[in-house]
Amino acid sequence: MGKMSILVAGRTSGLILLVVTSALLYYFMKRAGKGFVEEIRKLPPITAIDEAISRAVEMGTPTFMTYGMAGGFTSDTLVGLSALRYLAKETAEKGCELLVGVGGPRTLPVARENYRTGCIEGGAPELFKDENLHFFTSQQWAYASGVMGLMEREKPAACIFMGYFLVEGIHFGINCRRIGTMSIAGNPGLNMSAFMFITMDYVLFGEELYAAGAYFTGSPVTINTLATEDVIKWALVAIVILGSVLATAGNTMITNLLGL
Amino acid sequence: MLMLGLGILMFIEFYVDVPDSFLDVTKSLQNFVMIISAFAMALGGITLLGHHGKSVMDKKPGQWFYSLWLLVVMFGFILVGVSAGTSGTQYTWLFNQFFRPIDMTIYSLIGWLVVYAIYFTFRARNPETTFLIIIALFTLAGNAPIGSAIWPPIAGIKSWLGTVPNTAALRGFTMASMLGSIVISLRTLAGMERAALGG
Amino acid sequence: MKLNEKGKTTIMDKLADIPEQYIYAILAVILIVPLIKPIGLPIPITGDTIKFFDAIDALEPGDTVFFAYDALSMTWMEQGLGTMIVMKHLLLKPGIRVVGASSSNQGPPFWEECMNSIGGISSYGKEYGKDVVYLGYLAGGETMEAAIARDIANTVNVDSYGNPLSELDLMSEVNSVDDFALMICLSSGWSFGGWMDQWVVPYGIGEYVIPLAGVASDIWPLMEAGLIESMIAGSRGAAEYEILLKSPGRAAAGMDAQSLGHIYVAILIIVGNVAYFATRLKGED
Repeated sequence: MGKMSILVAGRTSGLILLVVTSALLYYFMKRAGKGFVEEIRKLPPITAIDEAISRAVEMGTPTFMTYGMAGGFTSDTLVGLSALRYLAKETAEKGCELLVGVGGPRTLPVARENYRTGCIEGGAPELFKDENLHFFTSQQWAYASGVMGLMEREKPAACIFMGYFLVEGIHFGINCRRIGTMSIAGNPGLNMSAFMFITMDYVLFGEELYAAGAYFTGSPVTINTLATEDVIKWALVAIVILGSVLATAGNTMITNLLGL
Repeated sequence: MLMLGLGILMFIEFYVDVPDSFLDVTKSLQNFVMIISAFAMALGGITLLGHHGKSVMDKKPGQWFYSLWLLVVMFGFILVGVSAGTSGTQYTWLFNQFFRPIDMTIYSLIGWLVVYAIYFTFRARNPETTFLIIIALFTLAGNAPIGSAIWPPIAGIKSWLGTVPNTAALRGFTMASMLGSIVISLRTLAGMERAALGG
Repeated sequence: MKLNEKGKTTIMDKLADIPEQYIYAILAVILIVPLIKPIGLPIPITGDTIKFFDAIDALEPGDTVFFAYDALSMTWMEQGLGTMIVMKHLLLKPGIRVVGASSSNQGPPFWEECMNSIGGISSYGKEYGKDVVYLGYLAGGETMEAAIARDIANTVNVDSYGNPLSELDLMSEVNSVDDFALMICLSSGWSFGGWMDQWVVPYGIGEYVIPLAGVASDIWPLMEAGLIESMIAGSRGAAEYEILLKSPGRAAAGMDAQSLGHIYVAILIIVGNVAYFATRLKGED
């Protein structure tokens, strides 16, 4: 280990990205504190959630929600937990029961708390029922079978899938079509989103799920953090264009800088 | 603060050339994570026991029998695995006779469901879906071994589709998706993410 | 379904809305018949498989390969064939050593199955502990992968069979990522990504992946970027590898069914669209 190299080779650009992201995050959070809240457009799947819950109320059936089978607190699971709290609040306000499918054992107590808090915020704490939380384990097909079985038995009018899903998304989609329910899904992975895209009514792709997560919290600070992503994305677009033009002309300066 | 502190420690270990004594600290933290992951499985087992045990005790109509069977199979696997080891013939037999057929069956349903989903979804309703269908047909032809035997250039076309437009789209998508993930992770480390704390 | 002026559905209406049971029944026949009575359709070899094969063929005696064995029961039918033929190739080469480890808890039974299916280590003149070691299932995901990249002995005490690593000759010669010539990853889902992040990106070791066919589109960009060297995806990749190794087996035998299945799906798309446009035009009349 030479005294000259403080940073590990090949990771400097990553560190710069991390520092810049953290600085921008801090800046936009401070802006939110001063009352400057960024405007975000409401995505159609999020608008459809209200419609789905109203449909469930009209039909007198519950709404079903699950945030995937991840064993731990991955970023998509965190969005799913935010969505759970939001849905618990919305369904409680409209007087609709919410059924929840849980995968990971570590997330079960947190899911319970989010569900309870959501019902309280919605003004109907009596709608929180422990038996509405169904634990299916994080084993993929045990989880998928459990969710499908629950959907077949309870026939919810609205099914919302927000979080970490793999190929079981297609099982859920075909099942939703069979029982005639309205389905809304959000999944960060492109590959797995494809299965949900072809079978569900509304789908949030990739970063749209994270944007939805910020919307679900309702917190100005969280909404403002989306602006961080936008700024960095524009910067990356500029770097990619500049790098492509330079590389085509034979200059690998940008490539070398990014490889530091 | 604890989350933030530990997060910063791991960042330093990843980006900075640290001395061995620092690495010992982060190695211990990594070992803690491995131990906690193993305990999470035990926690899952206890949660299942509670949930399904209650179903059996209350004789929940239409459910208690399935819960009882789940508990029998769960404890059967645990007892055999602990006593004879997971590499032993008894555990392997249980795994091959019970777990594997069910797992493979449900997984293999994907192939069937995808065929049906493609049939009712891939309709040329607008220019975008028409384009999607054309690409899908080229990819199908390129993937099938007979496709490149009938028309050799199809393999090159499929390869080009996978390595150029697919790569471009996937990279853009992945970068955007990862940025979202980074922002949520930083928010969680800073304690701003209420969902992780249960409200 | 729409009714015509006579109050009946036409053939186009029916083709636009075929019940799923019929689709599955026809698919079953199309897949089963060529498995029972093979047709012998040609199987061209792709560049990715050739690169994978050449990388193993180029290994020198004394080289050690790390096999990230993340098997899952649900995907074994698709990936197992590729895994077995690659493992056979590794064992056939004289002087090549293999160290395996699994980040999936289903790895150990499938390691045994793979070894038994290809005839066992001893049938290739190799000895466990000297030429092949299997560390078993190691919990912890990427944290574990990062730890063993640095120091295997400090992370793992015993192998999958309870033997202390200190008693295994091979483990006295290899202890970190730098001691391996290349790495092969039997990837359940996206587990190759974890190994890539913790082994390839920091240390530059070449990663060769045996993924599911459906994940191949995620791996192409990584191959373009040089992060993954090559892959043999799904049963088609396995079939091509079997042909290159001059050891055709179940993978090659299943390619007729795969070809016909693909053709069936393409026909369904075309039929569905023709029927869709026919019913739409009828509705606009």
